[in-house]
Amino acid sequence: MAELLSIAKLMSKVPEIKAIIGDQKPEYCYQCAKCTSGCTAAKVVPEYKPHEIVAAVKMGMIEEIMKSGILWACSECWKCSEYCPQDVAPVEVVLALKNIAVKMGYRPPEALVEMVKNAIETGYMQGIMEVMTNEFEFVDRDSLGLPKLERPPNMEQRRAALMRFFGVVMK
Amino acid sequence: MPDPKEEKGGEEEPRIGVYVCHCGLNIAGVLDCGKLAEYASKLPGVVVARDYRYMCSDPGQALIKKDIKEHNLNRVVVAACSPKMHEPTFRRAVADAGLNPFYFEMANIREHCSWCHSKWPEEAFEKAKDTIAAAVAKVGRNKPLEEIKVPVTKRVLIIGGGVAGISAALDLSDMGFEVIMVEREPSIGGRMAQLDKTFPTLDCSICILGPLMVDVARRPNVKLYTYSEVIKVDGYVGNFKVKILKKPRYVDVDKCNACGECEKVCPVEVPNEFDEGLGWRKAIYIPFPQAVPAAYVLDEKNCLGLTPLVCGRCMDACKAAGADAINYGDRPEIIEEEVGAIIVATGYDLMDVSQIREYGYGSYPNVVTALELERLINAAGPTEGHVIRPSDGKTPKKVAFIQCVGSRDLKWKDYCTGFCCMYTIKNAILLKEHYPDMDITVYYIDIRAAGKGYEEFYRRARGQGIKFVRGKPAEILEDPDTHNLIIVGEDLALGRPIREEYDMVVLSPPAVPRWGSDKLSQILNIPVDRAGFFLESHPKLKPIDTPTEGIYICGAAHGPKDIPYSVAQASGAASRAARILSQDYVSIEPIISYILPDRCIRGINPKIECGACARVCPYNAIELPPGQPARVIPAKCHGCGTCVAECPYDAIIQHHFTDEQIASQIIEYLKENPEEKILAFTCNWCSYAGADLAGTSRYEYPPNARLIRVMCSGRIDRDLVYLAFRMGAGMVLVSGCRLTEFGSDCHYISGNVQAKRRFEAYKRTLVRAGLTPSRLRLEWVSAAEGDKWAAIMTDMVKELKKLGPEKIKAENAKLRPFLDKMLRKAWQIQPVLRSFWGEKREVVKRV
Repeated sequence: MAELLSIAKLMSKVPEIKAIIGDQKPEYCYQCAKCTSGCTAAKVVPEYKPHEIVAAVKMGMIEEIMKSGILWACSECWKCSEYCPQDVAPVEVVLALKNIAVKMGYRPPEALVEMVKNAIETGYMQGIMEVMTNEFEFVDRDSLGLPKLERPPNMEQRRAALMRFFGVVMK
Repeated sequence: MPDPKEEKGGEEEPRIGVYVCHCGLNIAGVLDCGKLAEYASKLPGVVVARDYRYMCSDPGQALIKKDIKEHNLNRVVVAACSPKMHEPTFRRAVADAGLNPFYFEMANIREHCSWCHSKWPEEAFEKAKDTIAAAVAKVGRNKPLEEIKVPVTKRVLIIGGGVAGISAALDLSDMGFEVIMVEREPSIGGRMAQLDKTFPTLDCSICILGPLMVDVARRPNVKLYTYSEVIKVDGYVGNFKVKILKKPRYVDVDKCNACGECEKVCPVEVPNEFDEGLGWRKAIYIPFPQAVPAAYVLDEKNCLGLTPLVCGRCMDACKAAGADAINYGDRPEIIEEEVGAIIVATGYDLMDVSQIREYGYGSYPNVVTALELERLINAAGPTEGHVIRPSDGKTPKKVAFIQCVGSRDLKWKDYCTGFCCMYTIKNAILLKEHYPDMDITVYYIDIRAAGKGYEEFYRRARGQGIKFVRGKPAEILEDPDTHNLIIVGEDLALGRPIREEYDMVVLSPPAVPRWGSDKLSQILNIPVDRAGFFLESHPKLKPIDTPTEGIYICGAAHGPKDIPYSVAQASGAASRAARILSQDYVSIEPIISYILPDRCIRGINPKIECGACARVCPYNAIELPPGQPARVIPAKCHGCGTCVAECPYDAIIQHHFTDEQIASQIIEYLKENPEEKILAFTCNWCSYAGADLAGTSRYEYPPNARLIRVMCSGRIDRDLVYLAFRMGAGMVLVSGCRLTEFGSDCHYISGNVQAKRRFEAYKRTLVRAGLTPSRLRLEWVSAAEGDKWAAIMTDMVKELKKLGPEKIKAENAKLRPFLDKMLRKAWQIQPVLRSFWGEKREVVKRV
């Protein structure tokens, strides 16, 4: 009984997701799994299966997906949207779920948080790094004679915007 | 053919009998029928008015017949249920008493009144009164009409010589009708001749089809035109005139004995279409050994020159063999035939799946289509039944089938082709029987095995070790060295990714309409559906008829279909055609359009090339003889009345639904308190029936509407809407069959499209003249949408109340000069307007 109730609670999230997904139509999915067959992310993370996520959304099992953290495996290559014979576009569903997850307070993987931090601090997704060449030498911009990387203009505005969007994650 | 005379008769003074039915308590429970009869007795022209418990009962009908004799009645009105229910009953009763059946009208006070307005008994009583008064007004203007009869040519044309066409031809020939069969290819047989075996019994396809092909060609009452095309069809049910183009074959079918000497010497080799391009044929060839007629054909596109100066070897060989059948001087020939009915059995093609890039068909040699496999596995095919890989000629050891390649896919074809599941199972079983060690996998989404013996066949396949994997592969990769194929997929049952190497992959492409179907649909003037297949007249009750009377469809021309269903449908089409052919005459309901020759502008001024009526006619029923008035071909007219509303010169009338008759209803409805009323124009098939359903379902809605039934929303003339507002109507509703982005439900193909176009134009004009836009509405209501009808009515009445009668009155007064101007011509030609507005003559003139 308790399980049934929790499912009912979860089902109530479906309209919310549909509102965010917009034109996408997960209910039209007929589970051919062509999305999973061709998924770039699934080649690296075999547990990531877009068709299962769409099926779970249809059943309202949203918290389950979010707890598993599998959403963040999607590399957003949009191949599934190209393959899907029913115009369901699992990637859009996954994107919507990512947004809901952050709103609900699920923390994305550290690497992603790191990227956001970098963006806020330096204006770039990736911090300035030393990298190794083929000859196992460590080089940076100075040693290669590259000009100093300038900060993007109106950094303060950008920072404010980023904080507005990613404040939840940073907390 | 008899021409319907301009409406004559009905000149004598109307003597009308009105009968109000209690229908038990169905009507009498809400309305006081005695008072209604009393009201009716005072209406102009009414001689006798009675109420009775059940008018449709035998005593009720006897009452009418008795009154017709005793009171010398010449018109009858029954106020009871919907005309869809009992109009035929009462028409018969009236006819039995010696009156023309069209001297009868029904006033619907049950479905449209007592059943849906019980909450408002007083207003409902007013509505019933108005309904009866309108029926009395109309019946007084009704004219006697006679059924139109046209003679029938007792021959049938069958387009397409596949298994459907052959079956229909044999059935009709058995019934004793002459059959003309036209086939575009050099031989009849169609797709079925290409197949190896058939599911679920594994019968050899050509072995069961071949005898039928021979039989149909041998029958004396079947005329076979192969290598021919239908290029023009004129006429109408019972009387079609067909032009057939016979392409030059360069071989005399009667002289050719199919010895094959010509083929041996022909120097040209081209891919063989019959083998899906897998094998080769010469420029002079016979498509397949069992071809009917068993004669060679010379392909002029690939022949070196069609003259002995260039090559001429085939002609020499033929002469040497003693046949002398080849004639380079053959020319295209146009043959004219007359038939009474036409059956379309043009079949299907397969979509070109090379467009679906992820599966690599067309660039990977070992990816083949199912039909190509069918030719490879066929003992008479290019490899004599040995299945080989096109890349290296080796027998594949591991084969995969992929289902739904383009079917059930919104990017290509959204429908299910239906027979792919079964032929794939059959091909897999055949491969397994030929090569027991072969590893066979079928990748599918759903297996659709709904058919007699089909599911059992699927089980048999599983038992033979054929693997079925649910999951649609994303792509096929090719090993460039071995030309082996790697399927990248997902096994849904295991939840594991698949990366399997196969020697050969077979795709199941969607079936699409046979090429040229679009052209044929224009030649025959029959519609096609979104996919391009021919559209049936009604999906449930007329699945074989087309909207054009006398033309029928069968087989895959109507939609993808397997052999048993095609044959069954062919027999159905034969029986539908025989329904016409077995009669000496076909009769046509006389409620058709008629063009008044003295009012048609083409007759008045031959320089004007009008033709507005012909443009909107969905049935091509109007001919435009140069310099003469347009003319309706009665047998082709279905009686929608779209042309009547379109004619800018008011030169067309629709019998039984004339402007005069409808105007008399409008005037009668809106004589009193028009500001509180909604005048609703409804089409007979959908909206009127939808309002009926609202009553039958007992949906309650306010009784402000007054309904006028026309056959089609396309009949609704601008002038009728103007007249309604001139009479002071609070609101006007125009409604018809549904028109959505998925197509039109119109029973006359496109009447609602015309209605919408016209509605938008006159609404713009009226709003510009000062009309509140919400007072004129267009709604689509289907016969199944009683709830929608009730909702629209409730909503409109709410809006009407919001506006209030005072505002409407003021607005009407403002609109009046404009409407008088617009109605000037109608006023001139419609006596009913003059008799009502006689005193307003000056007003009309001054404007």
